[in-house]
Amino acid sequence: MHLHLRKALQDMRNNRFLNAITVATIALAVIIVGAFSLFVINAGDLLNTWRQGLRLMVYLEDGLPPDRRPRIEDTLRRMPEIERLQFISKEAAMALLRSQMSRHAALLDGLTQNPLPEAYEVEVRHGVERQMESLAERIEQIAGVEEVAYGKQWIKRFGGLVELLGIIGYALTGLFSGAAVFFVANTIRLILYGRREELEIMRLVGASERFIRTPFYIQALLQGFMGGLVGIGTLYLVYRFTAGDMAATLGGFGFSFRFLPWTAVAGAVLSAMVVGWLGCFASLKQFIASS
Amino acid sequence: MQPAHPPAIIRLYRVTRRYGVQKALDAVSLEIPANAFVFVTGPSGAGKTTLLKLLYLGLKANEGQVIVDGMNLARMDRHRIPILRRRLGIIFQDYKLIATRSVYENVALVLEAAGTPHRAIAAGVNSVLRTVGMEKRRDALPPSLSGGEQQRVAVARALVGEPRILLADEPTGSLDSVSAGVVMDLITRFHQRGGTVLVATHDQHLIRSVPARVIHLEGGKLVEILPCSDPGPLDR
Ligand SMILES: Nc1ncnc2c1ncn2[C@@H]1O[C@H](COP(=O)(O)OP(=O)(O)OP(=O)(O)O)[C@@H](O)[C@H]1O
Ligand SMILES: [Mg+2]
Repeated sequence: MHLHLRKALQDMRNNRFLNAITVATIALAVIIVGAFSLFVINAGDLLNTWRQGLRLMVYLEDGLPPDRRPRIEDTLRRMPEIERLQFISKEAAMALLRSQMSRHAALLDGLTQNPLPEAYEVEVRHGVERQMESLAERIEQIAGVEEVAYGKQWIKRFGGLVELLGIIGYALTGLFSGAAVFFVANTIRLILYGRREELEIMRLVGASERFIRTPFYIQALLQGFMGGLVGIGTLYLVYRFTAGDMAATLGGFGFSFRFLPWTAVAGAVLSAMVVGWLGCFASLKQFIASS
Repeated sequence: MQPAHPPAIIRLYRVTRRYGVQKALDAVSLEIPANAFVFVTGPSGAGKTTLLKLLYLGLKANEGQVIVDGMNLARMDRHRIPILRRRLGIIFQDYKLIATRSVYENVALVLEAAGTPHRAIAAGVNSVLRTVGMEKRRDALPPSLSGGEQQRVAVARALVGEPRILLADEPTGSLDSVSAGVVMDLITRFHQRGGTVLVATHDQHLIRSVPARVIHLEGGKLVEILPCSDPGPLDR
């Protein structure tokens, strides 16, 4: 083993240029696939944050007599999906609007009467975020309820986009892994071709195929390992320098960016090694078949 | 069979090898007992190299049987070829040294391939390099060596694995008489230690220098086997 490792390292040193290109190719594939995963993971997080903080606004009919409110409230409370609800009077709604508009609040002074409807702010139970639509429909059936509002269009579209990006990510993963396998295969083929006489001599003096091939596999695995590390490292640096800005942009949502979890990092490096192994396997198979 | 007769370590029975329609070896049968010293001779193109190649499975026979050290080569599995070759020491007509590896590495390769432990490799290689007088050039690359030096490295590589049989194809072909003497001396000593030796050559001078049996090929056919080297009726 030690002998094979030494041979593999010697080979890599002798073919520094080819070796660097292969490592760079694998790294590039890892960066692209990793960047996509990073995006999809964080977008998914963001989506969940939004879904979890999701509230329904149940607007009541204008001029509804206050004595009809307890029945509505009762119906709402009996719905299992609802965690909590809070009544917001016209005045409270106005105060909230004022505070949200802060500097432009003066505009509201011109109003002769309060146009804001009374409403219940409903917080849904954890886990039912995906059934918002049907919940909203049922609430709208309650007598005295004018309208139910929540950011459904938004979330649906964004969710769809994240899903689409996920699919593109898978396709890209396949594409770039394939390209990386191809590159490794080519590197090893070039090395094999340059050394076919040496390999033939090795066979003549009693070297087994395994003895001949093992250093190539080690080399390919090392290339994959290095490519994986370089790729993830580069991605991490880029993340470190840009995540701060992005987080600041999205900070208002109470959301923090995160890097790929360590399992994904390990997975990426392992996959890169598999890519190296496959490339080696392909070129050796072809080379043996042609010799 | 006489019981006193030593068992054959190499046996060919009606072996034919063709290149296209031309027969490089034509129904050759012969037996070589263990610890024999044999010259294979004949004019250029007679089939000497072809015969040696059949013995280390550089080529397969088209017809007939080849048995080497108890192994039937016609029926041998591809992955067992290394086992056969580790029992042979081969000196090739064109040396076949790896140009990009040092003298030491070229010789060590045989032991590495055989799975010899690291320590034993260094000891074995250094000792055999000393024997052939190449220990001072151990780090040199083969292309920087003279023909005679390369030949000595080739001999060292053939001997380092302590083979049962030594196959040598024109081992003195391109050497001056002094270098040739050194190489033949190494081969003779291998024989004296109990090894079986097959030397292909058309150098009659060389044949006369060692008492050995001589197998004479011509046009792929076995013409005669002489029990001991003696100029006899051979041409040239
Ligand atoms: N690879 C090959 N393809 C076609 N013909 C071949 C091949 N190798 C050898 N031959 C032919 O087979 C015959 C025997 O060749 P071989 O090399 O065994 O002769 P040899 O006795 O070793 O000759 P020399 O003394 O020149 O080395 C020759 O006629 C040669 O031309
Ligand atoms: Mg020849």
